[in-house]
Order: sequence, then C-alpha cells, then structure tokens
Amino acid sequence: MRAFLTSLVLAASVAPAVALDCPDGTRTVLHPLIEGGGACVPVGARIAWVEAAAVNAWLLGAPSVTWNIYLDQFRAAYPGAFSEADRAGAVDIGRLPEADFEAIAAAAPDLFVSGDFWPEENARLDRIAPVVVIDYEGQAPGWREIHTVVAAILGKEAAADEQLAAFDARLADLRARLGPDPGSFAIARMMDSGGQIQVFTEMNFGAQQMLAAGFAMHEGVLSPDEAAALNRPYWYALSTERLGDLAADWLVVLPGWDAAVEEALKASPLWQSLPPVAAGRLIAPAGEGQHWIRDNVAFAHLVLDEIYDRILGLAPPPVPNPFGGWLAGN
Amino acid sequence: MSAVWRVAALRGAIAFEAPVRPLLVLALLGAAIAATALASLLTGSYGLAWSEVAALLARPEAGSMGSTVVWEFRFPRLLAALLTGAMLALSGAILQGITRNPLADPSLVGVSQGAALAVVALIVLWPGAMPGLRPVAAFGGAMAVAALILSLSRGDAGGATLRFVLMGIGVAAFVSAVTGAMLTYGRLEAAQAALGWLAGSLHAAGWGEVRVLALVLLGLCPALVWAGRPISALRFGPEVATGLGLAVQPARVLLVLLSVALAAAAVSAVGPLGFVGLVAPHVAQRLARSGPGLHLVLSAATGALMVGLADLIGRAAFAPLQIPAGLVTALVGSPLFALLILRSQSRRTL
Repeated sequence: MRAFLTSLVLAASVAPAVALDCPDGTRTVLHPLIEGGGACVPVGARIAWVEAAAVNAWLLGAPSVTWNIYLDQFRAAYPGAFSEADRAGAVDIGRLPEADFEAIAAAAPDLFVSGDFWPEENARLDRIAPVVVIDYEGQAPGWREIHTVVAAILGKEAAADEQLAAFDARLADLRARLGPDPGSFAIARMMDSGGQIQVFTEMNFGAQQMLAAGFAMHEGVLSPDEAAALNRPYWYALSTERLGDLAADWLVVLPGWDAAVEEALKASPLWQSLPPVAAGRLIAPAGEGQHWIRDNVAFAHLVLDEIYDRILGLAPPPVPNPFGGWLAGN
Repeated sequence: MSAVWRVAALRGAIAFEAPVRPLLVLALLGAAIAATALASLLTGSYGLAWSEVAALLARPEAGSMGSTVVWEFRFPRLLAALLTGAMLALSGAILQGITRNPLADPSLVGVSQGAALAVVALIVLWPGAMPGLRPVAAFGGAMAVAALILSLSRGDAGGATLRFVLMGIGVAAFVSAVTGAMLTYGRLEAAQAALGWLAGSLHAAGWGEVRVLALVLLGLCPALVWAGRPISALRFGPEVATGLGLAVQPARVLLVLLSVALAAAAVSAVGPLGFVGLVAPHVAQRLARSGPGLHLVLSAATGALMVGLADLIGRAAFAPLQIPAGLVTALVGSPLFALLILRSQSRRTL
C-alpha cells in the first residue's frame, strides 16, 4: 500500500500540471515556467517576444517580429549579431509598458511571449493575439531554465541543449585553468546619488558565472536573504565609508551611471587603499557591462571571455566564444 | 460692459441674459475638442483610412484588428483624456476660486502627491498587488492627504486661506520626499513601473477608467452646479461672503472636497498630469471673462482640449515612441503659464 501511494505521488509530481487540448495546426508546449503549465503554440507562428527572452529566441535562430531595448543592449555587446535590416524589419516597442500598442498590432504577430511582471500590458496584448506568459516573478528561474523554456516554446530544445553543453565545456576548461581556489570576488557599481555603491549579491548573473568558475563570493558581501531584508535580494546599497567590505581578491566594477561620481570615488584614498584596487585586481567589464546583469547564454560567454582575459591574461581565450564572430560589427 | 444675448420664452415666463463672448468661446472650444477627437481617432501607428474608422465606429466588427484598435485603444484613450482634462481643470478652477490664489491647483492641496505616494507604496512595498488596486489606492491617498491638510489648517484665528495654502505646500513637499525615498530604495523594476505611472500617461487607459471617470463626473455634476454660487461669494472674501448669507467654513470645506474628489479621480485613473489644473482656468479666463458658473464650464472645456491635444501629440508626434501626456502638458503648460503671467503684468503696468 505504502509503495502504491509513493508511486502515485511520484507520478503526480512528474505528470504535467495541465492537460492541454491544442487544436490542429498548433503544438502543445508543457513547461513549469509557463503560466498555467503550458500553451498551444501555432506551428510556424510569427512570435513577438516583448521582454528579455527575445535575445534567447534570437540565439536559437528565431527572430522576434518586435524589437525591444533588450535586443538593443545585446546588440551593443555583440554588434555583429544583427544587421540593420534585422532591426529595421521589426517593429520597435522599446520597453513594453511604454510601448505603442497600435504599432504592436501593426506587426501582426500570431503570438506574444511576455513576463508575469506586466499583467496589465499582457491583458492589452491579449486583445491583439494570444499571450504566453513566463513566470519570472513567481519562480525566479535561473538563466539556464529561461533558455530551456524559450527553446520549448520554439520547439528547439536540441539546439538549446547544444548551446548549454558548449558553455559547460568552456566553463570546465576555465575551471581547470583557474585551479581549485581562484580566490574571492565582489561585484559593485557606483550609484549616481554619490556616497553609495551598489553591491551585487550571488543572485547577480555575472556572480553566478564567477561562482560556477570556482570563485567564492567575498565574505563581506551580504547573502541574498540579508540583502532581501534590506529590500531586494539581487543587490544592496553600501555606504562608501564601508568600502572595506569589498576587500575581495577580485573586484568587478560595472560602469556607473554618472562618470563624474565614479571618477571622484576612484580618486579618493579610501578607494585607492582597497586591497584589490591597490593590487590591480580590478575587472572592468566592456561596454555598458549589461552582460554581467542580463541573463542569456551569449552574455555568459562574454563573462567567461573577461575572466580568461582579465584574470588569466588569456586573450583570445583558448576555448573560443561560440558567439565570438558577432563581437565585430556588421 | 460685455454684450449679452437676451433670451425669453413662454411669453416672458422664462427670460435670461447670456453673455455673448463666453458662449462663443465655448462653442469654439467645443469645435476644437471635436476636431481633436476626430484627429485622435484617425491618427495612430496602425494604418486605418478615415472611411474604415468611420465604418468601424458605426459598426464594430468582432475579431477584426481594426475594430480592436479603434474601440479598445483609440476611443477609450480619447475619452479618458477629455474627462481627466476636464476634471483637473474643474478642480483647479474651484481651488483658485476659494483660495483667491491664482497659483492654486490640485497639487497645492496634496492631491497629486497623496495619490503618487499611495501608488508608489503599493508598487514598491506590495509588488504582488493587483494593478486594479492602484486607482483605489490613489484615490485613498489623495483624499487622505487633502484631509490631513484641511485638518491641520483649521483654526479660530484669521488667515484660514493662507494657512491652508502654506500647509498644503508643506505637507505636499513632505509627502513627495517620502515618495522619492521609496523610489530610491525600492526594487528597480518596481521603481520603473512607479515612474511610468508618475509620468502621467493615458496609454493604458481603457473602458474601465472611462467608466469610473464618467461616473464620478456625472455624480458630482449637482455639486458643480451648486458650486458657482459660493465661489462667486467667496471671491469677495470671507467677510463679504458671510454678509451675503454664505456659511463660509462649511462651504469652503465642501468646495475643497469637491475639488479633491475631481482631481483624485483623474489622477487615480491616469497618474498626475502636471499644469492642467493650474493653467486651464487661466486660459479660460483669458479667453472670456464670465461668472463662476460659466467659468467652470469654460475651464473644463479648456482642460479637456489641453489633455486631448497633449495625448494626441504624445502618441503620434514621435511614434512608435510614446511620450506621456503628463510630460507634454508640463512642457507646453509651463511656458504658456509664464506667457500668461507676463502678458497680464504688462497690461497692468500699461
């Protein structure tokens, strides 16, 4: 009896939460990250990806019929990823809450893929075409899970698995070169208000790559739970008087919003005497540093590129970035 | 002495005089509003010929994208713009009348700030809350802050109006500071959502907002009809108003509540739209001097036209980039207000 109940519970936990009865011409997609447990995706659908997953879709070879700021950020890091024609051919919606919904309607998508953080806008989109909602807020998925749900919606699971496997292979090479104890790190960014510095916890995307490469988060950095107690789990504001909390072996400094504030802090004795600064163990990400914040597999490779270069002094990296061809502009 | 039309009916049983210029101005404003409405319905990123728009307005087609664009996006947005503009202008005109302060507007009594604080608190502190709660929170916040200012400015000593104005400025500044602190320390995504609302945008306005705004305005119509008489008496100061038989303190409280209710409903629907409550009554007065009752109507029409135009410009001028109507009203309203002040000053010096 006990064995029967156990098998029943196991079966229930493995079985999908929903049983979709999708009409002809659509594909059934079941995934726990999709709101409601699954969706019917029209075969060959023109999909409008209205948030950051548009980049994941692009990486899997499925351009969105709408353009957004996340694709712009990706283009800034990988200028060769898109041609002018790619951009011109999509309706630019910027950031969804401020988007022109008539322009979106004019793009005539068959399906939208959106996030659960915009319920009002999703309801408006639903008047134009069906909306598949990814449950970001409720489940706080990791970047790999986001890539797999995008792949599931597109029916490109094999391609996603291949991309993730290529990343893991590169990560394994990096780990081997770094050795068992490459040291501790902290990630920070100057805040425009001055007198404060933004410190990222281990939930930050770049921090996750550093941890995966074998680094340890510096003990002076708060845990996500401690940061959440202050307000949010991803980052917290630290007084510049407490810069000593960032005395890690390596300090990643993301570009700040105000260059003058940043320069003033960097000129201060407090900053100059910080151990990683004094030892020249600073990592300054390229460009706007969005690849340390936005999560997708191509940005994860960029983080690895910078670890190879800035920490190991290996440029170009011995195991090349599979998206490296896009680093040069079109 | 301004020209009047003398209207008589039923052999003189009903007779009244109607001032010519204000009525002509009202007719012109009506025509301008109609033209703006037409342009709003015909303009947009989704290509629709005027004949298609006319056909869809006459006969909506279920399942047609054109019908969705006209009936779900353009039409409710237009109506929400006209209603919020009218309500903010009415609110400003009433406040300017009772405080005898030409700078009075809904933000003076903390309506915008109270609504902003409540909505930002809801977004930042309770991110899981249903978006439908935002108008309720905004209305509650606006009314609470206005009630606080009213209660703090009560007193037996004279200068109640000045106390009300100064208390309003102080409390509004405090409330704004609390809102700023929440935006600074809240989650980035929540702060972005709150900033979007604070910009005062009609882009998400739908039939739900239109229904609420229309119901509030219709419900307050009897009070607006009543308001002309006490505003007229209060223009001469509390002593004269008392001499004219007005119970000054209750009338003032009721008028402030009426003004707050109008502005709170508008702000709760679309966010704070700067300068409308301040500028529209001044523009109306410059266009035609009239009694308080007709001035309220002219102000409402001016406010409706201002916001209708601002929204049209904001969504069409740089499409697909959407500029919130609140930014357009502030960008156009502030120089317009400065111009009005300069012109009135030069007339006085001349």
